Amino acid sequence: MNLPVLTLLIVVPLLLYFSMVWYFFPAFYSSQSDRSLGLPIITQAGFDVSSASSDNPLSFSITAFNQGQTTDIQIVSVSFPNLSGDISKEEIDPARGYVKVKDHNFTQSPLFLASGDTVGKEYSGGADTTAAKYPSIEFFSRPWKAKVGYSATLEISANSDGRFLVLVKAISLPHFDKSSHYPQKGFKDYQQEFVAIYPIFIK
Amino acid sequence: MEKCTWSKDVTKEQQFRVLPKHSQSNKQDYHYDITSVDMKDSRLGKQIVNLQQKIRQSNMAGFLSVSTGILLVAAAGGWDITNHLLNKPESFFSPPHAALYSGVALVIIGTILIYQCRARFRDQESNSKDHNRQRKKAVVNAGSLSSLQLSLKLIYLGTTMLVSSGPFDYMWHTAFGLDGLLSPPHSLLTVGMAFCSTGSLIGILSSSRSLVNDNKNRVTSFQISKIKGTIINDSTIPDNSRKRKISASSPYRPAYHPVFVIIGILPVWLTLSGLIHMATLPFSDTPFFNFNLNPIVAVVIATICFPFLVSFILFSSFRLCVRQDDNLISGPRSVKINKDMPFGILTIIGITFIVVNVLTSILPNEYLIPTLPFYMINILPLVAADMLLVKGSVINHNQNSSDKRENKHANYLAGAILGLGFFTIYFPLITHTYNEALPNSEPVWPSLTGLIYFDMIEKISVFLIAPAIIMGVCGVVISSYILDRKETQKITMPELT
Repeated sequence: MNLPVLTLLIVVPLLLYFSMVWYFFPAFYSSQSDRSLGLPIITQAGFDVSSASSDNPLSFSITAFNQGQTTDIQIVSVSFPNLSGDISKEEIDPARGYVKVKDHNFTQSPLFLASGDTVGKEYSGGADTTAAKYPSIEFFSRPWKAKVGYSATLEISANSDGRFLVLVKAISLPHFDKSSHYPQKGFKDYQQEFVAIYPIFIK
Repeated sequence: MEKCTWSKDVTKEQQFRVLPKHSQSNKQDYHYDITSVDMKDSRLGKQIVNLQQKIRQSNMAGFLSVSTGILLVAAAGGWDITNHLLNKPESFFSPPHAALYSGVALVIIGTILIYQCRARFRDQESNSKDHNRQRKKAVVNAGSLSSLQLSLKLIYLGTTMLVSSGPFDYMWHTAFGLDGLLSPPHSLLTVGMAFCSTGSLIGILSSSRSLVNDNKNRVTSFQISKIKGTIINDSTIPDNSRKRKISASSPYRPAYHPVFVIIGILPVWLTLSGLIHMATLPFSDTPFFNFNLNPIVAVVIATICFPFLVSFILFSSFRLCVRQDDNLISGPRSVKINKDMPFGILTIIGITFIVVNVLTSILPNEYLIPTLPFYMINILPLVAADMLLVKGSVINHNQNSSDKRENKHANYLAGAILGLGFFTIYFPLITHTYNEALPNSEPVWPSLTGLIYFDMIEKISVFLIAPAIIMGVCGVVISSYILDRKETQKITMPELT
């Protein structure tokens, strides 16, 4: 094979490769910037009764949907400002209250967070963190397909009289704008994230 | 034809001396001939050949099983990392785990095969009282098995590490909960895989060349009766006073069988890539330990190691399949070689690596499927480097003769091309390593991996060109050094030592 042909056979693929890799594909894929926007919404949440006694555990159910596009992760957080410590085990301190997950259909196992645990804040997806001020449970599915809903039912033992609060929020990650979280306005918790409040009076 | 003398009476450096050609034959072969009263019997020679071939064939099955097992383990490991990134629900028997266990089982089966084969022949030989058998054992052990010793040690050690990493990992999980990518049990597993794959590659090459020789030149490959030259060897054979004549004749030194090279070298590439990923990916920060390297250090390691590895592995695979016709021998430094360059082997191995990466890292992430055309374009530099090596790396040494010599500049250029391709070959995992070192980097979510990568490639590619070229050339230099040294040793130090 003579030299010019050989040179051509080697140089042409290389030129094609470098031009595609360094110029064409970066420009092409950047122009296709349909970021996958999840749109989380909590369609149902609440206690099964309007009031309860401290002796009987409560039942709290929640259902969340992704009304946007398939997203990497969508978290549904349920937190309990009236409780403290590790709420995952009843036997640790029955007098202080506990929470059990009676059932759920999220793709991942729920994550119990205790006071003092490191948690994300300001919808950063864990990039910015803070210490948890009260216990919570995070339900999540990865990925969370579009138009798909997941639900969970909790058994809550408040073990104290008075107003008992459950705070609920949902976040879609990666987080782009206010449509990536639910609720989009209202009360902010210690994580500087909006929450929906569900109260019940314990006698 | 050549004559070689080898005697205990001279110093070690002088033990092997090549005498000038004196034959009319124009075949480029070489022969180690040992004169022996006992071994002039051609029947014994055939027995030795048969025994050698049996050993090699049995060992080969074991080596192939080990390599295939490591290939499966390494590919399954990559798939498992991707599933963790996607946080797909996993169980003990999730598909990547099942593939991983199957790979480990294959490695264990291969190791047992190799061990049993070795034990069988050891027993057979040690039970023999026959004088000829003792001599046969000495020759066979020295001649064909010495090159396997290293591979066997590596495989035994690697398999032990591989198997023990399982319970170690369980204990680690029990003590510390979730672990990161870089953890002591994972390191043990990956280093064990590296040992196994390297040992198996050495074993495959050792057995493969012999088998090819045997097939090509079954009768003449190890003739006893025909005296082609003289080696006086009194260092390994008990009866020191005798001259032995053995013709280890091969009319040419053939290439390793490409299929064996692919099966042998691909697991080495995947395993070493896994080791580099393990050290550089920022996936090792857990509640108990943070084994993540400093992001800048991780980037430096990746920029040095990946282009070197790509170039080293692909150039080595090419070199291993080069058929060499030797116009031997005027001394180890002036070996004149005609090389028959095989086109395609480098490209095939590169494409196989690409396919494994597509199956384990790209297809499982639905967001990366549109990047397949980009990833497949990695074939272009492979083809260019392959063509350059085949057509450009051989020049006619003398226009009036058929003698050819290597054009090292073409080799270096091919190394540079292969090195330059590292940043695209290691897509998408490499995104995490480099993103970590960039200022104001955002988290690499699976849906954003492509966008972050293509944004990054515009920013950093200019800084990668020089180190990638340098390390690519280094890969060629080191590969040439190792393989040439091995060839020189084969020529100048007969395996009878």
